[in-house]
Amino acid sequence: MATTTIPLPRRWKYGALFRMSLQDALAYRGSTILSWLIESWSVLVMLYVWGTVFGAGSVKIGAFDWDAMRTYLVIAHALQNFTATGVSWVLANAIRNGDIVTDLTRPIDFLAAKLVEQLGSALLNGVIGMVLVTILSLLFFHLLPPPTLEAAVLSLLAAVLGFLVSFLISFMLGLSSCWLMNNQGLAWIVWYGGRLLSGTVIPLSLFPGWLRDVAAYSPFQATISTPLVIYLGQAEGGAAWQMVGVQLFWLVALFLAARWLFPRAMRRLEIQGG
Amino acid sequence: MFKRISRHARLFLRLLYMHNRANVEYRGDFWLKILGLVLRNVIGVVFVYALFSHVETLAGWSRAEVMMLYALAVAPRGLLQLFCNGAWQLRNYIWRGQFDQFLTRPLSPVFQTLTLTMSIEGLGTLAVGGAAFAAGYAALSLQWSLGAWLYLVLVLIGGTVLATALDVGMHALVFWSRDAGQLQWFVEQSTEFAQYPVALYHRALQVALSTLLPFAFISYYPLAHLLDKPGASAMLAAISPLVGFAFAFLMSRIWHAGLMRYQSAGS
Amino acid sequence: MSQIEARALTKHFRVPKKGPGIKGSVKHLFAPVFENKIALDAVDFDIAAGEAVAYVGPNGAGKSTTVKLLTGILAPTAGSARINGFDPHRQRMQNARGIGVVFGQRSQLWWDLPVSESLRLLGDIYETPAAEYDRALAQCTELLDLGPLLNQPARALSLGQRMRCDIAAALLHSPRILFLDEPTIGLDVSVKANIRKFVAAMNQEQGVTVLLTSHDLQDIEHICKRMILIDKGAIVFDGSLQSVKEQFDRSRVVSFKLRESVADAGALAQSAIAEAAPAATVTAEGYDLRVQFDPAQSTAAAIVGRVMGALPVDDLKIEEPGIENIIRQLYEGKLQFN
Repeated sequence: MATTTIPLPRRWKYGALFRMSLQDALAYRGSTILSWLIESWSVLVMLYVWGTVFGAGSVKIGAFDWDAMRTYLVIAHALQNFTATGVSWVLANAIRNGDIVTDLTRPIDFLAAKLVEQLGSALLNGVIGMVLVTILSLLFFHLLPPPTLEAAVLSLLAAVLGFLVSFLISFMLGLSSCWLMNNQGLAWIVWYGGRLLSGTVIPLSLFPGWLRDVAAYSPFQATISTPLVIYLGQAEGGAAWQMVGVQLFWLVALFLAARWLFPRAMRRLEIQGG
Repeated sequence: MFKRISRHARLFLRLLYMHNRANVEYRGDFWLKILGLVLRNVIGVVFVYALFSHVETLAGWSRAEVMMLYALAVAPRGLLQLFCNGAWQLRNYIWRGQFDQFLTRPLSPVFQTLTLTMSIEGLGTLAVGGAAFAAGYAALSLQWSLGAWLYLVLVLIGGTVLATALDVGMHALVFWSRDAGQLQWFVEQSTEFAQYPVALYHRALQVALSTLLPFAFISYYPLAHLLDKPGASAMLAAISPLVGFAFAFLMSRIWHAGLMRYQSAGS
Repeated sequence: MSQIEARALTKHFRVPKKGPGIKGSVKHLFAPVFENKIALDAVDFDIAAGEAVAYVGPNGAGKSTTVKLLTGILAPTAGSARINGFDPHRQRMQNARGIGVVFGQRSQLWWDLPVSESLRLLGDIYETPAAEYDRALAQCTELLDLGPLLNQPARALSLGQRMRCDIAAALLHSPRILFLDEPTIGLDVSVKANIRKFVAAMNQEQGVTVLLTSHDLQDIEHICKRMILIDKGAIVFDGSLQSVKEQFDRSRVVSFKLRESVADAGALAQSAIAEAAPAATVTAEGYDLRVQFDPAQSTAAAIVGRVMGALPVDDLKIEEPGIENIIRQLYEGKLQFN
């Protein structure tokens, strides 16, 4: 019998995955917005603390005045929601209950598939973040716009690269559950360590010297700090491009690390009898 | 009455032993978890440290004083993690039908819920809090009387009761709706306001932190009194340890209403 | 006096009627609409101490609701229940001390700790005196063969091993009543047999009252003498297993194996028994002959005698009426009750 199969382009498979992840994300949009606002609550603490420090005058701390600091804190929060992915949790669960086996039987690249599955929520978080930041800015905070068009475009690019770096870290964290019975402890370390070293809590340039050095050599700065420093115009031209270069370096390094780790994790799973 | 208390104390100790025995089953994870929570709270300390390398005082409070404030704000959560961290599991237990088992045993379901988890990693939280407190105490060369220390213990107990009561009360909202967890998260996040002098915040927020989200009573009011800060209220300091118990009563009403609803509606 | 009694026991659930999506949820928030679902409708029964009763019905018939009402998990909408003289909802704590409850696939055991630790915790919760605890544990260990399991964490046990431990967990405070809700679901055949034997022994030798819900008919036939059939929230039958068979199974089958192939075997048999069982149906195929008849009209002996006179019979078998038939028909909605 003659059957005609339409040779679908390879990316079609990922297209369907992407649509599914977007639908999923949209279904939870209400609770996503709510979580976003609830987490903003603790950003308010930081805003009050820094607001008091800067006072009413034109105090300047490092490269920051009150306007820049306010902008930094609010956008850092939005970026954190955008770059954080649930992939480590998804992987840890799939490994624990054995569902990962079905994933592995599909004729698609595992890493790419997991990335595409996260794109829907990332896109939604990105859009929600931009809309809410704009609204909050107009109503209360009067945030600074990027100084130049170049800064705007480059910081957007840096945010996307930051998302990818964050994804790869989270991906490897998920794989760690092939070795650990429960990777909660490691997840906390990565999550809270990342919060500090990415500059989410305090801009890296205000760190004490030794900690600034640690942060400079960690991949986490690529997720929050880099896009924000570029957005605020604290790094321009060559310096900004150099920072994007560092992001790309981490992206490649982490990608290779993830590729290296993945087959080892799967072998480990087989030894355990999954 | 005494018999009831000793029975629950005995069960509590057995559960504490069992949880810790289960925890050390995974020795590697256990240390990673402690390290994780140390890190989580070290972030707060690093923030205070970094902040005060650029300013002298925050709303009239020095670095050492804010360190102590921070310690008092996080310690109740550490004690909760260590001894009665089970409420967050309520949603899953209801969802999987396991909550039914609690009702077939001759033991209060709220006791069974609270003791579902006892996380040894709470030690991580307490260690950082203890270190921050000791550092502040030493830097200020304080010499507190025995009475002051006893008062501090009462404040810690009151704070832990408050944190636990809110934890159970807010998680009990899942008796009404599976998606009610967000309110609990909101309340837990609000604890962060207690890490800094309450005088920083907008008037309305100060009122909220002394009424609906009474976290000013776990750190700010007691410590302002102990450190004899200008404008400290002895009255607010005196009632601080009691606030937790008042909220325990309020939250128990929510719990009972929720349980009643569960028993009449099923899951 | 009966140990378990239900009087007009009724349970309604209020099921929210929500429109789709966020709009529906918001609308529901302001003008909630509920649908009343009757899970249990004025049910009456009495169970005496030492009985073993199967509580049977299709999914959604109200079995679990009844168990939850009797164990104090749910509050009745109307009517009342008494267990050992206690109201299971209002006197939940006192009631809990006198009953043991096993829910299939819901373990009481701690995942990471040796089973013995979980059992000791339960001993403390029920405040079982040490001597009684030791006696009950020794008994369960012996009869359920728990010896090698007690020192293992629950995560290392198979489903069947875990269920054996869970049944022990429900019995260590020596309850006089044992509720079993689908206890053998998902277990393999030998474990099922072991558990049935144990429960039957507890019932017959220790006099523990058993109320069992199960879809497994073997469970019912091995453990219980009495059956309560429930459908759509109402009891449709309450009596001995034997009488279920008599009341609902109106047909019995005798199957013959013939020595040689006989043309017209069917017709010959039909005419031979025409007088004794005019309504019987006969089917013949090759060496096999089946006669299905109504036991109220004639007896197996009459049929066997007549067929053997007319045909060369080599072997024969009288098929017992299966309870399975009856329940299957009930589940499929084919059986009508008056």
